[in-house]
Amino acid sequence: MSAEVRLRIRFSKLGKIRFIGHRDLARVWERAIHQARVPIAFSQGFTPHPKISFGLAVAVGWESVAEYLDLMLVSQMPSLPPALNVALPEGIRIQDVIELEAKPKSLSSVVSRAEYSVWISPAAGTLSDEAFTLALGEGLESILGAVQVPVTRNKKGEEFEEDIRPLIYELGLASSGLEDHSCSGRRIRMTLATQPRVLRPEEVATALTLGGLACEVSLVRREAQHVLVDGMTVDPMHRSVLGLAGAA
Amino acid sequence: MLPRVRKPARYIGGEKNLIAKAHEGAEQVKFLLAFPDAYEIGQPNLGLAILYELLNERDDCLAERTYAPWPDLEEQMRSQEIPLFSVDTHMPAAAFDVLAFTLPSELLCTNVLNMIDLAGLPVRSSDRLGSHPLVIAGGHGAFNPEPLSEFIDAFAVGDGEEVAVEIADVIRRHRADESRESILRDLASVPGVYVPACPPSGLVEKRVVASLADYPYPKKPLVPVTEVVHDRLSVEIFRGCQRSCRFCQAGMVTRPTRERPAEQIKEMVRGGLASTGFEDVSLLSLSSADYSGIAPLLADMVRDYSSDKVSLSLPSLRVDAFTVGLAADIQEVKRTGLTFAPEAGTWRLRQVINKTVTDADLFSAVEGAFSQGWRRIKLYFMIGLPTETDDDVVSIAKLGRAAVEIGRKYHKGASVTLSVGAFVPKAHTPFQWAAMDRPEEIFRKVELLKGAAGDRSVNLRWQDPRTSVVEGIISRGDARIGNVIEAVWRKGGVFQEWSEYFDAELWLEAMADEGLSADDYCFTERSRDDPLPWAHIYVGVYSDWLWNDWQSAIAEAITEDCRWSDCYDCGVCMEFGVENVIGSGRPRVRSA
Ligand code: SF4
Repeated sequence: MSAEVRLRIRFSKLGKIRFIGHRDLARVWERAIHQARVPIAFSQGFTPHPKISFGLAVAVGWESVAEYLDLMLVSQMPSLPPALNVALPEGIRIQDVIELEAKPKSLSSVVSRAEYSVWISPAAGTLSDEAFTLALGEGLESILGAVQVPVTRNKKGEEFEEDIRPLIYELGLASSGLEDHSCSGRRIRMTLATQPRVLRPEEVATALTLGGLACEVSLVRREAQHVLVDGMTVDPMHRSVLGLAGAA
Repeated sequence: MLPRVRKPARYIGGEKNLIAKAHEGAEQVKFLLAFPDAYEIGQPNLGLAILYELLNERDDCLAERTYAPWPDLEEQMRSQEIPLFSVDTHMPAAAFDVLAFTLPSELLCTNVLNMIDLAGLPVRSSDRLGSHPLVIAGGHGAFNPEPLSEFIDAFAVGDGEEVAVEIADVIRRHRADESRESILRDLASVPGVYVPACPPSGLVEKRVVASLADYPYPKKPLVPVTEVVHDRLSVEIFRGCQRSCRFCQAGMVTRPTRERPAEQIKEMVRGGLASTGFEDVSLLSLSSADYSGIAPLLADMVRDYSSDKVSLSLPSLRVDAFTVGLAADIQEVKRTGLTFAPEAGTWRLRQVINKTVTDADLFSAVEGAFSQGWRRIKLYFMIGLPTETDDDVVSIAKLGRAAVEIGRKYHKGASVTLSVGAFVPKAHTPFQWAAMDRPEEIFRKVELLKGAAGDRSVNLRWQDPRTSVVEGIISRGDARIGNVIEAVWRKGGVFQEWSEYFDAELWLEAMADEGLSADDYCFTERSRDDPLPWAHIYVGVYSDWLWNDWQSAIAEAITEDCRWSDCYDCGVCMEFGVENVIGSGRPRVRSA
């Protein structure tokens, strides 16, 4: 039984395929794994399931260059990345694969922050580009400088107010607009909490609007996910994260 | 726009094996294949998949797809003036030469109009100009084209494989033409094509592909990236059906039976699985267990795939062809749902409809299923059939109870679902002259059934009989029904196949406004002298034969399956120069 191989995969979800949901994404992976004849391990029991565990869900409509999943195989497969890339639909591509030595903690429990590129444009379209960029910069500054950033949320039909300031780590205008992208709007960078809950970039845009700058999000791209190890942030493939293994 | 709608994945295409060719110049004829229902319903459609691949394989053609936008997207499209677009490349409909609809069911008619309108075209054919794409329709709805004849430029009747290419040739020849007239005239001369603006002097004969072996499509099916109704590999094992169930339009209009050779089926399954990663295979046809070599075919497939977590399903199983051995074969690979369709509660009524399945056949199939591990089965019935009595109705419940009893021998929790639909007479069938029951009568019969079911393990499901009335109006409708369809569409009646959008009142109002009555279209028996609106469409079955068969029905006399009894001369084989092609050449023996 020692032949089991545990892999962690980082992949991207770009272009039109960003509109599929988490369940669809899971099925797309299962099917690609099947088609590429990956020697995936199956759970025991009446209805065996392939051993795939996904990290944090990526919202419908978001792009990402930093999605993670773990696989368990029954034997090695050196050709796995190219074989899977052929079987996956356009827009989903494997970026990196590493082998894990022991059973890792689940991705969604260790990841505590995520970094995003967020394209934001003025809601009404009345502002010129320069004026909007200026106002955006000020808006972001004032959020960062605030002690509290209250927004109203809706949970099970009940409205309540929540301070999202503690969930915001970094905010700022990005230096350039990622020229490969045809998306409209000004790009900003955000690092936001995923624990105790995932703060969505759209909520920051809501806070900006409440602060007097009517704007909307035209695209979100997750750029990185972070794990906090001894006060340092590292990505989920970093050695020190894998060292977090143990509590199997 | 897409971030603001529900289920945006419906509109992105993005399937694996997508072809997405570049749009080129004058030689290339561009088809936008349109399915008038939501993506998740239309994506698995086999006819569309065949045409998509077949047309794209040709250098001189291109095909992309579009589906009915859900009302939330439609609202966005209309407010932002975005026209109907292809899911493949998001090209607007106007970039194509042809908007080619497949017409799967009557209730989707208003969606067809809505899509023509969203494409930016006048809905009425006569208002369209030479610069507009042609609007063509095929599929089951083309067998009675009259209700849509004001809106569709040309109907392709019968199998589409050959005629699609011939239509493309006509369009290419007329590239430079300004007028729509000459191209329509030319289209009307293509066999199997009906152009309402150029009425044919004789009959329009349906097209028939003589050998399925010539069309091993789809070879590389599209693999959806989001949920669809049949998310699996479908391989058509034969086309047509000779059973002659008298209510069944599909059986009548797709004759004769043409089987795909077993070797090709296996090859298509092998190639299809390899190119898609699907784990489920469905062997499609109108009555899959009737495939002449079904037992060895299944045995081979079970052998080839049992270690591979591939599941196999046979939709449309005939009760009398479902043996324990077959049950064991299917179940060995992976268990899927099982539905049998005895259609009527008593042997008497089954003779009337020519579904020659005895109670004993049904019970042995049910026994086969439960004994092989199934716990739930579904039985499909129609009510409101010609000559039906209350005893026939109550017998449906009795059959359900008896089936549950059989199931309990094997599992404590065995259950049976009785799924009941109202009978709707269809064009080109022996029942095309029959009357259907009024909704009140159907409701009464459903109550009767509820009272007789009397067992918690017998579940009853039935359809809103008012949808059947609308289906009935359109299925045997004439050109006047076109105004009704347009009126319903103009009042916002789209997605009428969906219970959350179906609105019976809209239809009844529109009928009244046109001075028409459902009585004439649905509830009155037609006589032999009544003109049939679809009389100009010839499916190969003589009208006299249909009439005589209707008379036999009333006399409770059955018509044998002509593959293994004598030919009863319905006309279809002679007329089309094809004979029933039976793949393995080994006639089956029926258990009935
Ligand atoms: S078996 Fe009967 S109901 Fe089924 S396709 Fe054939 S004719 Fe139609």
